[in-house]
Amino acid sequence: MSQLPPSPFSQRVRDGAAWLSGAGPESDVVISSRVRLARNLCGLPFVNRATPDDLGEVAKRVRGRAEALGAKGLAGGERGAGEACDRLWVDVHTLSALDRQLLVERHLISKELSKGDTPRGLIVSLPDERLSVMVNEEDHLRIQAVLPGLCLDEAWKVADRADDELEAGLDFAFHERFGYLTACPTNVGLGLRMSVMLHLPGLRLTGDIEKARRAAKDMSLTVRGFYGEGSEALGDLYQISNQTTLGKPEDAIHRELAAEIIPQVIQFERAARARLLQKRRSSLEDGVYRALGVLRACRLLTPEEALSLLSMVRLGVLMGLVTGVSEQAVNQLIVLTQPSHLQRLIGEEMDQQRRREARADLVRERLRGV
Amino acid sequence: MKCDACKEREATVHDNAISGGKIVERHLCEACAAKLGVAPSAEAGAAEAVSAMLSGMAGSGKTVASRCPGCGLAFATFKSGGLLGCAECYRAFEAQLAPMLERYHEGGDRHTGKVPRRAGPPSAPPTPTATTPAPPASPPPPARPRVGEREKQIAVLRGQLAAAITSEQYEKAARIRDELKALGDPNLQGPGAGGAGGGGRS
Repeated sequence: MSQLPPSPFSQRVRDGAAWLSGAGPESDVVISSRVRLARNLCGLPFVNRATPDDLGEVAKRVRGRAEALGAKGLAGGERGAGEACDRLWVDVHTLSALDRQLLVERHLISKELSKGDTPRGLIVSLPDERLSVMVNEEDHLRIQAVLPGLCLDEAWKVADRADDELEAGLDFAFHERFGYLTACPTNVGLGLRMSVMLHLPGLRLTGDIEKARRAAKDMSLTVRGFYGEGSEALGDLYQISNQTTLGKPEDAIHRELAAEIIPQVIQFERAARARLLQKRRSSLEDGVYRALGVLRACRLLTPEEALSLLSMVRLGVLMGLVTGVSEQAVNQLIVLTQPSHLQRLIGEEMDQQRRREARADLVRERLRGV
Repeated sequence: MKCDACKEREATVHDNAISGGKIVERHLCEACAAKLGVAPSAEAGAAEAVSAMLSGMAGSGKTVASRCPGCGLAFATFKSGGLLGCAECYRAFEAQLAPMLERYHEGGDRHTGKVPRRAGPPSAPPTPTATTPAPPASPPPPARPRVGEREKQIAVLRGQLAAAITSEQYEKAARIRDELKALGDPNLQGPGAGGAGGGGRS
């Protein structure tokens, strides 16, 4: 198998992703919080009507602005600047397929941005990766802040500040009635999506997950799987986010999600877990230990099976049924078992069969326990 | 048939627009049609006009465009693809978009919330010339206080308040009034004004 050339993210792979650190409030249920702002530059067509030259111009202007600011200016300036600036900008269209997929797995870019060879970029704050800006996705800019746990207020501050900093040197398309203009009118107005990624194995095991899904939809929230739009809820991971963006200010959307809806979902999930422990302890334990047993003994593992078994082990760790394995170790395996991370971690390009072997080896090693 | 605009060349582009609830036909030559940003397809224009009439979007007295003069996107293409082509599309299709947006955003028909610091009309983009290949390392722009942002928000909210009262959405009106109070709208200052701040961003 061929050795992989170094990439901007080679060094970052080993530690997984910061948003999976297990830190942050309510981390037993809330994996991460994300705030995204969609913005477009004045005077250039939106991405879907733009020529490659237009897209190049967008990338040039945004890159120019970001480089004038530096990582410190963009991402909040709380960390040392020593490491910060060298990988601030990534020309996504020049990356290998494997490295594009790596960025998708880290949730730094969407699948949509990863496909295509017209000019497209990524700005990312290092080393924490909590701020990123996708350039030339559906909109010219998609500013995103991702933090571990239920932290929408802090994520909002990070994204809002980056928006201000970028806007001070770029003209964003704005309409007095419709607000920030976006390619898709479902984002117009605030251009804001606030979302939280939730781990809801308890609700799945008690059979209440569909009820929760329907309730969220009734409240005009969007429920999606692990990789966003159109993706399945692998590993009992769900994303809940606001749907409407016009007619309400940012703080109203934040309040609805962070103070009303998400705490309720957290409560339902915790109640489901408590009920399982009280009324179906043996079948809960059976599920958790079987999952752990398979992960500690298997020799071939697909990413889907890994996610589904890791979900049960995470539940076991959080409920005190599994000891000697940390929540963080389980969390990081969620991203490290993905195909590109695995190949970068091992440093080799691998075919599917070899990846299954390597994935099983990695999981066995990390979950060895005591 | 001669072109309605120049009265000289032969009209080859036939466009239907809606004005005051009526279909208005225009017959133009290609040069004038291009100048006016009119679709060079008679069928598409007519279909959109009829569709707009049927869905009750017409009658506002505003002309309903079938094609965006900014990027050339036909409204029919937007309806099938779901994406607009440029900022100008929002102005060109405002009459058609407004009711759609209000439905999707559950009654939200006007932006409330953050506005760009660069309030006012968009200035000319700082286009780098061909002699400056690298992105210019421009000096940081001077700090601009958010002068006018609050006023702009108040203006936007007042518009929404009026619309909510007209449409008898009193709960919505009360919410907007509270936001205006929190922003310190001088029109609403008086006994009982103020209260817990809500207008700020989270």
